[in-house]
Amino acid sequence: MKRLENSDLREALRRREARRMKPEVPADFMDSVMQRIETKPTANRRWCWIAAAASLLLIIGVGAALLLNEPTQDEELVAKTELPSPPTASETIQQPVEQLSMVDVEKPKTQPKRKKVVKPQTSRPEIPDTLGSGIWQSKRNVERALQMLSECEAVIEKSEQEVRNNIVKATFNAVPQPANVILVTNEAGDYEIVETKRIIDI
Amino acid sequence: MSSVISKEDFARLVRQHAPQVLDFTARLLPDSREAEEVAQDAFVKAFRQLSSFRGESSFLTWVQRIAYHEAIDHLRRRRPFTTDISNVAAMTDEPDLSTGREERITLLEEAVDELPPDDQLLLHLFYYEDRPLRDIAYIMDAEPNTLSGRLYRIRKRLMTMIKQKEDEKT
Repeated sequence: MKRLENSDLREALRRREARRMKPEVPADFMDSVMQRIETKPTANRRWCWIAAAASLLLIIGVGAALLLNEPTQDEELVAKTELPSPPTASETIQQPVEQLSMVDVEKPKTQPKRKKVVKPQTSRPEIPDTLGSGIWQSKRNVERALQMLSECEAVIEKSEQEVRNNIVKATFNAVPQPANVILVTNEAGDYEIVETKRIIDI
Repeated sequence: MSSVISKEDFARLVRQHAPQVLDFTARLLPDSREAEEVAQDAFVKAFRQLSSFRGESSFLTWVQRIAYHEAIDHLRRRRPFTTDISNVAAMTDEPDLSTGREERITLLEEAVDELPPDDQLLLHLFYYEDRPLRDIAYIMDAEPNTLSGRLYRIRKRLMTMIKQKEDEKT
């Protein structure tokens, strides 16, 4: 049984090569190569990168816009239901001044209890038709920020008064006092040393 | 630009290997202008990627590998590049050859001419240039075992073609 011999195949390929026209290297071949090496890579690739970056930015931009304009579930709920509106800065600051709190000499460490701020309950305004939900959200955030600021101011103010009262009390206790004398302070930071008899009179 | 080798040195390499690279691309691309263009592309690409050349093969083999990929890309852009193995699949054994050696070699020449350029190149590199299968695998970006199987299929196909030509003659 005859098969395809390697020698036959090699011979066929040799004959084929012999009759084949070998390509000649053109005279300007090397110059062309060197000239192309001198030039920088084609701008096509650069354009591809620019196009890809632009597409990415576009996608991010569209996504961000959609996220900003789409009210969240929370906001939709807020918009649909009536919620108590935050108190204004003036409401928070204008708390009723507490009456003088009597501080016993035997219990100087007890702190005067703070009064809870009672927030007025009012209905939340509806979203104006003229405003987009994004703008409405920004407006609401500003309101919240103002509310928090006023609360912070109130706390700082109160803290100052408490610190001052504590210093006064500590100074008073550090010095031996007559038995019928006590220290009276108030939340406004004022203090008075009064006789027990006078208090009874009051 | 690469700083591995100077342009003058690279020009020397181009001058030295241009005939082989052009001959190589011409085997895949019959059109001489296309072959020349692809050979130039290969050298330009080789210069830009010189830093990735690790000396695992000769410079010529490395450039031929680049040229091979460039040529295949070129062919793919132009027309689908496939190898028809439908005749091979039906075969279970190599058919008998009843003709004399001289006639058989002539038929073989004709049959090789009818093979796809990629298969012709593989035969040429392996049987004519006697290149190691490892080198050819590197150039063609394939596993040596894959190429070995492919050579076997090409031989079977050549046998079938010779048999058909014999039948046509009788």
